[in-house]
Amino acid sequence: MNDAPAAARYVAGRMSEAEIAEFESQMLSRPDLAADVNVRQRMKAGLQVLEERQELSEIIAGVANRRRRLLALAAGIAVAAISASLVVWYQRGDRTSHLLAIDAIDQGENTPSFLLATIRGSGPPVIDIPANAEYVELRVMVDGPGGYDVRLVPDAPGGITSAPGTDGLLTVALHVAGLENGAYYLSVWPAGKPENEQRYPFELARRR
Amino acid sequence: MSFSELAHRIRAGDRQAEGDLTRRLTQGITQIAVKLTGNFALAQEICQETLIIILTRLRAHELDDPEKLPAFVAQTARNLIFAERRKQRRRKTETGHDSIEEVADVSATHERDAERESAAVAIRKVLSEMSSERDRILLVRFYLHDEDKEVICRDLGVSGPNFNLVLFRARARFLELLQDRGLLSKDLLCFSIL
Repeated sequence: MNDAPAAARYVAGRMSEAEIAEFESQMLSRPDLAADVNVRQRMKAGLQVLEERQELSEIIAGVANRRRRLLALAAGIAVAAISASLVVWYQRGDRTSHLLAIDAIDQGENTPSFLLATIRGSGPPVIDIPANAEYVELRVMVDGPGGYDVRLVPDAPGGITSAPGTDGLLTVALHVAGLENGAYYLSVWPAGKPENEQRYPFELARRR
Repeated sequence: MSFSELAHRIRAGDRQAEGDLTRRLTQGITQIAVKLTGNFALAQEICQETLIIILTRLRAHELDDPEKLPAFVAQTARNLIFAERRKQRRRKTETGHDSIEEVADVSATHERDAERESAAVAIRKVLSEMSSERDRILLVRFYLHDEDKEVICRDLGVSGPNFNLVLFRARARFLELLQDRGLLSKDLLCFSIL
């Protein structure tokens, strides 16, 4: 009996009574065959649960992943809001945010996303990115709506752009291809008001 | 050691042989029970009961044909499952709902849900980590809809070796995730067979 198709047909219920009897005897004699059936039955059970909940088609299409990223982003925003409210008193009048918190919102394959917020008692975080990442999305809690200018120091040769979101976060797209590992800071200031600059230092670490 | 030899030694009072037989049969009995009940927790209970019956029988009597022990074990497990089904059907027709058996059954149902839920969590992650929608479709068609490998390969334009590779990786990741959740024993680490 060819094991793999037999195990598949057994789990699928596509065997005659005689075949079932023979296969089950084999399975009882061979724990490796039983282990294979175990994996198949568990995978099938898991997929059945997803199908019963009508989640499977979305997962196959990749929609659920995107939705989860949005939920993660919402959670990140909540973290940022709490963090910011805790440290407003600490930061008032201080242009340099040397205390920084970071929360990875999404470690996507090519565009990891991080939430930056200032809190007390933490040092520069490490932005850990995959070796093949070209862009990193940095989400920064800013004081209010309006335009902001951003700059990476030392300079980002690949470019850096920003766009304010409706959620109170400034989204910064940082081209990291070609950036060396090391210490950087993100400089953010309201358009036309460089005196209100905020700095967000971090360590860039690209996985090998 | 053959089943015949194990049966003979158990009849002679060898407790180590009982342990050896138990280890050899547990996984298979459990899978037979899962197949027939769809209930992982109940399957484990059936497995225990089956082993008790088998060991009791082997201690007391020689089997006519010890090499047919696997068939005897499988039939014993099936009989227990059918008895369990009859018991559940009877329970559904009774008016009282506070028996110990029913409480136990509810507990088993919850266990079943927990095991299925864990499998769902793991397989969801496996699917979400697959970069290609085609590979996700492949996995679902093969493991959920039980479609033939040849049909899937033809429909999706996938070669046989690539098909095997996708499933191999998916199974390996699935096992890894279940192990992380502490749900697998070492004897489950079999993912070379596709």
